[in-house]
Amino acid sequence: MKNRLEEIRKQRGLRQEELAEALLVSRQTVGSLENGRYNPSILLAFKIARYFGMCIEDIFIYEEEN
Amino acid sequence: MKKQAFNIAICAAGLVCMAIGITLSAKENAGVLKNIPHLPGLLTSLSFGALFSGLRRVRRCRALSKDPRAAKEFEIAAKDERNAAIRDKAKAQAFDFMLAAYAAMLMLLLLTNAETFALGVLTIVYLLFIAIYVYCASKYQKKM
Repeated sequence: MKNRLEEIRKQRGLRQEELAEALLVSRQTVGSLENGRYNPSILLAFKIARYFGMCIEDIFIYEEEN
Repeated sequence: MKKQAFNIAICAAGLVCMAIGITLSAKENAGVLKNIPHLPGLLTSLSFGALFSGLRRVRRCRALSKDPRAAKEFEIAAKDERNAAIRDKAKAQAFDFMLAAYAAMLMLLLLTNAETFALGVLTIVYLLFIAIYVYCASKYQKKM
């Protein structure tokens, strides 16, 4: 699943460490989310969306598998 | 504080095991251990495991209590969902490998005419692993 997390984080002038601290996850998790290596749980996706004041769909891009 | 008390209890248990192991390994106690000659060695090995694991926990707990930031980072890393997913995946793969390796070992022991008692115990333990797996799978089927 693709996402705009890195783009949105940089727009807000946040470092990975700061975002990780706000979301109560490790910095590595934020890095993996941004690289698309790890898909978050629905709870973490909501947490991220709430933190940025956006909808989940604005951050995470769902692509149907062929 | 409660955690530190538990860690100290582990160290104490290790020391007690070590003392019992050393006492039992003395020659004059050989008669007591006619049927279980490996008990002193087993106790001593267990005591080392408990003692060093306990000491490591005590040290870590002490270091974290002095540094609240490190303690918070440690707590976050422990609760982090990606870390939990990695742990679970690694455990699942290790379990699959263990079942295969255990089955191979049982076959090998069977072919080499190993002692029936040992073979029986190992087979029961193997079946226990599978029973626990089936029980957990059924429990989560109802729960999730």
